[in-house]
Amino acid sequence: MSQNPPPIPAPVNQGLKQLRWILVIVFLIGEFALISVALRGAVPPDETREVSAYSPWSEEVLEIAEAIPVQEGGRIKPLRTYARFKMMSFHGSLTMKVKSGGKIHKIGPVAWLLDCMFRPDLADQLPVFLLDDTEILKPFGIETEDRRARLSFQDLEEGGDPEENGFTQLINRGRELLEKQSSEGEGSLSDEEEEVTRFAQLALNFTGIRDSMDIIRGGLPPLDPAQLAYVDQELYQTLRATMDPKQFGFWLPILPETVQSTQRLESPQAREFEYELNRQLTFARFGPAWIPPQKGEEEEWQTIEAKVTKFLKKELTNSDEILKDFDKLEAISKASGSPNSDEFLAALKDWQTSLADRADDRAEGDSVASEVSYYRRDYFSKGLVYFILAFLVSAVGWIIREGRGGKIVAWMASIIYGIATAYVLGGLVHRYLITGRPPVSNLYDTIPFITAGAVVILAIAELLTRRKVLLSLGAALGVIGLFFAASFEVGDAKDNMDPLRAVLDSNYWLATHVVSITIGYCGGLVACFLSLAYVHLALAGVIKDQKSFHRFMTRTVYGITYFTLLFSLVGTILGGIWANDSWGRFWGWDPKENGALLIVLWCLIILHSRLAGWMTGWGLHIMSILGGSVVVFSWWGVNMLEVGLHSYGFIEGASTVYYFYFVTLVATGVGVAAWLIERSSKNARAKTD
Amino acid sequence: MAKKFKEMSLGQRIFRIAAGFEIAVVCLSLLFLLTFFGTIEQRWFGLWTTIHKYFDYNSVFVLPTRGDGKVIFPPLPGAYWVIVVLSFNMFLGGIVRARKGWRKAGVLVSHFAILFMLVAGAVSSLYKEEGNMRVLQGEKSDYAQKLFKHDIEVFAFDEEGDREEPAIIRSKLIKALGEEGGLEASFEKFDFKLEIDRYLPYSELALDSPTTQRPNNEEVVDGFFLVEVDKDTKTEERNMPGCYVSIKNENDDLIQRLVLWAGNPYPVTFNYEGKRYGVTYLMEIWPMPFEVELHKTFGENHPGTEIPSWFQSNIVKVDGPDRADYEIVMNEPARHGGYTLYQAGFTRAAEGETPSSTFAVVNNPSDKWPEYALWASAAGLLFHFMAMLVRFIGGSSKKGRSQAPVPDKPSIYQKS
Amino acid sequence: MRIVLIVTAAILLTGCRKPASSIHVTETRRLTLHDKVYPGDYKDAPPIGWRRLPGTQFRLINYVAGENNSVEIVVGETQGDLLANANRWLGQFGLSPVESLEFLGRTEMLGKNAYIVEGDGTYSPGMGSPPKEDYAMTGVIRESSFNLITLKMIGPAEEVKKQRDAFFEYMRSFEAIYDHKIDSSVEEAEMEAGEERK
Repeated sequence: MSQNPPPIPAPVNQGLKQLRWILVIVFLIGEFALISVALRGAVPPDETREVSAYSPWSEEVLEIAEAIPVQEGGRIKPLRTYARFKMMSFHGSLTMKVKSGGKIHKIGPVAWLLDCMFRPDLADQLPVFLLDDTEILKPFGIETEDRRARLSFQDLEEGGDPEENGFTQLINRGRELLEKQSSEGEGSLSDEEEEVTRFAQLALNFTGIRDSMDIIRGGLPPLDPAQLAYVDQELYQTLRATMDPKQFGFWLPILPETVQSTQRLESPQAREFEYELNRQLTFARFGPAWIPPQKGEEEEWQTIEAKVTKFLKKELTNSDEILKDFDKLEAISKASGSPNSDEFLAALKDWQTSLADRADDRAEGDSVASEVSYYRRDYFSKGLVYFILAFLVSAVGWIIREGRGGKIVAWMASIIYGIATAYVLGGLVHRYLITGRPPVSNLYDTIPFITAGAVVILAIAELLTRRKVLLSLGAALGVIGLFFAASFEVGDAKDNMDPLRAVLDSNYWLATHVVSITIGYCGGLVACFLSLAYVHLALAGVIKDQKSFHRFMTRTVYGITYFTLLFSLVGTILGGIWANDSWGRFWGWDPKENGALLIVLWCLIILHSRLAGWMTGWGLHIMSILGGSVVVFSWWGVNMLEVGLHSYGFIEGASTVYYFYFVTLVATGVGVAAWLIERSSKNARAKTD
Repeated sequence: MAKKFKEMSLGQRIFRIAAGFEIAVVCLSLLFLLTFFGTIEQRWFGLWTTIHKYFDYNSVFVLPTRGDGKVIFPPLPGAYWVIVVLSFNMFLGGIVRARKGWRKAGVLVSHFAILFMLVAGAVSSLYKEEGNMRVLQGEKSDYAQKLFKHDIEVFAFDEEGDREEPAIIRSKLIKALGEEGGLEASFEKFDFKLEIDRYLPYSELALDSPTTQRPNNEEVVDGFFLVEVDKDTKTEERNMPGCYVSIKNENDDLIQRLVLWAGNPYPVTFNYEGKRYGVTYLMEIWPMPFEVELHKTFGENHPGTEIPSWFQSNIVKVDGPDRADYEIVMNEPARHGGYTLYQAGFTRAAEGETPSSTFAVVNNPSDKWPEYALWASAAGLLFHFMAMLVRFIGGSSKKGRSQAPVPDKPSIYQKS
Repeated sequence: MRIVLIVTAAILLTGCRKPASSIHVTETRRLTLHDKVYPGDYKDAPPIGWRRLPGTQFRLINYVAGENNSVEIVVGETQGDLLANANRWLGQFGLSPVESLEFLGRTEMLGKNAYIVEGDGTYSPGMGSPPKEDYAMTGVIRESSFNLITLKMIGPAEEVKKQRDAFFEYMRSFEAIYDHKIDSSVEEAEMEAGEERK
């Protein structure tokens, strides 16, 4: 008997196909809405504060200021970076919006820092502090409208009562709590008490930055020079001819003699003078370390305070230099009354050039200009925008597929995607050039790297197979990854380009082991999202009428699982070799090592099950989705355990991780349900045949 | 067509199961669960305890528990044994039974390489020796001490008052005792016997006085008594075992009662028949076939921080007449003659003190094996992946899609 | 299935091993520099009848001797003024303090001048211990650059008298150890520094 040829499926109605894709879009909009609601608590309030008489700094001023070299965290960086992370730690964002004279101004990190240093009165009014729960400030008499709000320093001072304002009360309480913690040990403070301590410290830090320039601003009370027994009167008169005795810089050349003199005086003026002198010097400690070392002397850049102390101890070879520095800074301060004037610009430029030249002499700070341009270009934010665009355009392409329209949409999507990818890659390369080490050395770095890996993998896959859905998925991953990178950076508020601890500072192993593992993470996440896409498409019925699509998705996930296995296995073994070389044991069942092993095992389970014929299409996708959770556990979860040799990547904000686990569980549930339905309908059909 | 299971002989059936995917997937899944629980439990119980519980060859069954003792999963077999079973399965299934041919070469090589690595691990766990050697700057050492292994050494003093070669009771024998257990040791070298009782793995030596409270009315020997303390899970090195011993002659007459504690740096002594003997409880001494002279040790922090950027020891390794210079830095150990010396730690000295350096000494015959296995397995997997990719592209692109149906079950087992 | 059960039983049984209760020890090792480690890098040579006990925070070296181990000989380290410490010891025996070091016997310990403090009577160690009658002490205190080294013997008067010669012989027995120092030129430098330290 001859076998009947398999029936040729009837051509599916074009309109029906489009309808199915619209259904996918509906799903996505629904999920997006859900996520927005869930994350709404995480987005800070967007109010615009009214500030009297605020005039923004001009572009030229900002350009000069941002390029001033500063030492922090073990390296020389531009003032822009310094300001950026300071602002992040206070404000939780990189822009501050204020209204003044009917106009809205956006204040960035450098402008804010300049306000703090040169216009402290204005800085007090700026809403710099972000507080999640302002209830904790109620005991100090500080009230706000919303629970989650941005406060200015003035708000803190205006609270409380006339004897002890809100700020003072806050600081005192913070000090009490710190003492309690040191005597009773870690964990003796409640969550609320810890928040109060943290915020008190933050408020103090703000006053530190703000008052660090008091030493330049002047304001020393008058002193009768005749009473200064140890000061050479002729010298005094010479100084008086060119400088103002209200300035610290005036007294610097004769400081030891002056202090000797005032110590012998009984008058209240002398006491006032000493007090103010000390206060100014103490606060100068909190400013940036931007005074370069002198030739043949110290290794590190110093704050003004450290430099003055060295000067007083006669430890400087060149005492004139510090006096000149004071001159320059005082010139800036004097001109800051009219912030965008030519005098100010010139004084600022003078200072910046002086520092940059001295940095050059020491062959330091050569990456400063590059770093300024890195932050100006804002690669990742731009990439994010383009990926959003690429996704939207490609989503249109699901509906408009055929004909000229379809081709144009497809091309547009590809081009925008390409631009977005170029931005991400550009950002990574630039980071590498600045830091001189592969851009995967800390947790923050891994996020844009994995995002880049994912979008590149999917782009290549799309080129090879011409399946448009891969481009959309790539754009979606680009959006998610870059968004996550931005929010993590703000939450972390740390400069991730700073140098590393001894054991990590070994470029060969870093480049191979960490990169390999990270690419493995990348693969695992791509497979997971591919399968998540499969779930969407299956639910919308897209898969049902395109058998080849179903096969394609399944085989692609299978292939990417293999890819993940390759890189995770090689990376894990490389990690073992590195550990053997550093610590004398190849494998220690350390949490991070275990995390990598879990990914390897998961991939092996999938592959071997498939080879055994147990893993149907749905089975593979379900496993792949759960595999995403395994990757996230290995990437983030193990750091949250705070145990083991790899625990140098602690994070807070565990909730995002748990959200992800939840999402994969839900998707798995949906997948299992769908599989069961499919199986029972297959059985039903088999019965009716 | 492959034989159906029913039609196989008993031998063939055993082979089919032992080499089959079923065992592979089961073992891999078990290993996954064990690794997962063996990771999260570390949060409550510390690295050392959890590793011993899950991955030691001694543990046959494991019950995953939470910090408060609540069981969170049904019992699982111990990881070491799962790996043993998996290794056999990998060998039989992945190498012996698998289809040969250049197409499968990549997979074969990878299986072989991973097996080789597991064997390296087994060799390492059986034959690897490691210990710590602490040397002060300007001094030398010719021994290391093995952490967490405490031996009892008994030795005689010669006429000059120097120590003679000791008789050693190994920690393995002592650890097997519980608080109630007892061990009687007779010596090849000596006429007397030594009996151990009241062994406590975590203990402290306390001085007795009229005002001291003894929690469990512990026996006082020479004004000292041994008290049990809680195990320190975070820093295993701080746990000191202790025991009571009786020195007896052949007629079981008591010569001396002593209390031994691993935290005592110097031996206690007793006299017998005109000779003086010493007894000490200490971390196992591992004599080295060479001497290490520490000439200089130094390090630096990252500017303005307490984070070490690097530290280094300049040593001279003396092997008989041969002298060799080494600079041991973090991440760059000195490998020579089968021994590897790592910079494990160093102490900066305060004023008037001498700085010191601690080296981790490792003697591992399978030291380099994982590295070889790595290259082999990577090459194998890469080759296989490339082959797959080529086939995938050919079969999946819209343009080049073939009309042939894709088989659901690959024919790796089909012996046609 | 049966095979599985038998194999499992075998594995479980081998796991339950009772610990050995009697062994014959033949294992030994060669001598290493560990066997030449002494407190402060000084080797001491106690008389045969003395027995060494575990050290404590205040007792660097701790011996017992005599009948019923009633005599204690302790090497310790302390701070402060030599005379004050000597008088404290005398005070423990209810003896009146001396006004200056001239009233104490002189000797040499560990290469430096040392003072002998002796007494007998009722010994009140304090810290909750009951006083002991008819006790005696023989002690030596020596100064170094930053602390005091003490060697003290306390016990029933009879026993202490018996051990007195042995005590001073012990005091003279301290010998600096250099086995673990790097080389002879360094050795000599250390020797001088060592004498300085002690």
